[in-house]
Amino acid sequence: MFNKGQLSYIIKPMTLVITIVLLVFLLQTLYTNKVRERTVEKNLDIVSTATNILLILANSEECLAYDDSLIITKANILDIEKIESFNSNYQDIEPECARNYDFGWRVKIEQINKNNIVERKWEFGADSFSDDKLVKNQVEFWIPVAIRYSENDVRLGKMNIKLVDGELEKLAGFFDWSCKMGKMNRMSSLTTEIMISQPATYENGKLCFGQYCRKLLCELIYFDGLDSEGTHELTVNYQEPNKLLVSK
Amino acid sequence: MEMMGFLILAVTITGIILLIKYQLVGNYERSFSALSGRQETEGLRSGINSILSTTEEKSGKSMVELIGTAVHNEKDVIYFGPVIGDVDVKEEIEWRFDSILGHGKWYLKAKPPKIIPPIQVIMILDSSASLCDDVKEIKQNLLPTINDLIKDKKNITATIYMLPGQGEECCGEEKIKMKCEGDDGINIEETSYLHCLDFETGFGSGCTRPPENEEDWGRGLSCAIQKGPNEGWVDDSIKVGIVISDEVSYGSELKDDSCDLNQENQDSLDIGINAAKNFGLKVFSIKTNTGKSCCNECENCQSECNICLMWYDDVPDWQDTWVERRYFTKVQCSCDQELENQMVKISEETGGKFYTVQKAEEVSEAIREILTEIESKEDYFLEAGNSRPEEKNIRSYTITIPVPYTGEYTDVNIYYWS
Repeated sequence: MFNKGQLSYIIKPMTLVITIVLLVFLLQTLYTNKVRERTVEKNLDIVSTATNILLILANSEECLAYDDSLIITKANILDIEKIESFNSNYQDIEPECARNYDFGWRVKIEQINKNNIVERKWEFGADSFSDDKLVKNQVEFWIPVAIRYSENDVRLGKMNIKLVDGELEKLAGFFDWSCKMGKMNRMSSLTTEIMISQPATYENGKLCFGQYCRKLLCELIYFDGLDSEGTHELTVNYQEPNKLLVSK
Repeated sequence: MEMMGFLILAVTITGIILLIKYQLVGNYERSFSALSGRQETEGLRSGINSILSTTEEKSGKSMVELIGTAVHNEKDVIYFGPVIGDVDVKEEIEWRFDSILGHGKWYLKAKPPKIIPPIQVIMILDSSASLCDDVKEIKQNLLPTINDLIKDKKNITATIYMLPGQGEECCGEEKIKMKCEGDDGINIEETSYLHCLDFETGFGSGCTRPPENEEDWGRGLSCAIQKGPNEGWVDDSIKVGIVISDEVSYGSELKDDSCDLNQENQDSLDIGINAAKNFGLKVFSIKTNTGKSCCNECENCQSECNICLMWYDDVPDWQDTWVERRYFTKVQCSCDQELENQMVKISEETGGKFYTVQKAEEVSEAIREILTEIESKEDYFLEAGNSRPEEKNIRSYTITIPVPYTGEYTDVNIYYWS
């Protein structure tokens, strides 16, 4: 058998190896937890945003809320005229009153009758989202609403939102945010780095990733797209009344 | 030593890993869970507000108005006249909540507002002399009793009706007669909420079926209901009748040495019961001391009779008329059980309570108990949905809604589980 000196020769390297394994495992855990932490944070962010958008739509008089100073409680009472107006005017882009420049969304409002059948429905918001491969996260849920036709005619309904966090929404959001800031005289030039997983094109006022396109608020000048995947640095300058000069 | 050092190192690193795993990431997950819960609660609240803001198709009334009206009317179905017809509030609630919260996942309860309604009491008093001590007690203590209850926020009015044939004189130092009015009457102190009225017999009574004698408390009750209390009957008041007597309705009589409960007695009782039931009046009956404890047949009889018959010894012609006294006591004794049966019956059939008292002071105590414990009925609730399950995470929301016509508010409680 081994004597004490021989045993030390075996145990010392083993201790070293096992210590290294444990440290690697510790680093691995730290990294994994960081990833999980980011995922949870993103989920938290997207769920909060979706809820906020629905509540703004339902309770802001600039959006769909019925304008009555007598109504104190937030009861999600939607004005039918505003719903019709949004349904006509925002078929391919989100209304400004509840716009979010990090995510894209589309809302569907359904009026339900006594037999739980959808009597009428309206939709507005982005008409297209990033391809599934380019989507980082997305949520879809609804809140109950009351649809007000008149004082004596208020119907039951549901307002459903689909909120998407994708590359198309991020890139379009950057251009739209710059456009809005320019219109408000709060920005003359803005630069950002954007990472994309597939080439982007710009044509007829729409930014596209493959067949999935979004209408932009401003017309882009000197920009016909990003022809390769990877990280791109973009600089935009606003030009009145409705243009963004883009340099890559 | 080397092995020990290695073990400490391994345990420390494992501890750090576990700490990172459960503490750092756990915080985010808890935040996410808390946020989700808060959103679900806020969603429930806004959802309920939305539902309650919607209107019913036929009536154009909002769900808040319909629920308020239902709890006020204490009916699930509201009739809005020949054009609109019936609206089933429960059904309207159910399809809306089923659509939004899901079938079988919610429960709603709304109860009528806590209103303190006026309590109107009519008190039918046997006017025979055997009630002298009880009437004196009422004269002395009824007003203070009512005053005490008014101080306790009760809204009470009482009208005493003395049965006809009044005028028998009471014994004792105070030689009052068994009637409300007149200088020699009981002269109870009247206020805006306490009155004493004498019944008249025949056409002068103002009743369809007036009481016919001083013990006809069945017809007396019917007549008092018809005439109403001094201030008249008020809508939505709690209507209470109190009958006080020591004889069966229409009077106790002997036949072949036993109580003769004849058709007159039965008719009088039936008239009283039917009138009270048809009017929605609760009848509380108080059987005063019939003298049963003084009957020769009773065992261990040592008590004094409280009945006023002893006074007749003062009448020169009736002095030492022990036979009369004995006869009277025998009637009371024989009919004691029949009286109790009648009083229990009228009280049970009208939702009241029967009391038996031995001493005059107990009459006041019984009346105080009746007036203290009488409360508005709270047996109606508007309920919809499924009963709350156990072992579920139940979220609840209470919304206060106005009740039409009353100016009051009431709570609607909604429970939701997934």
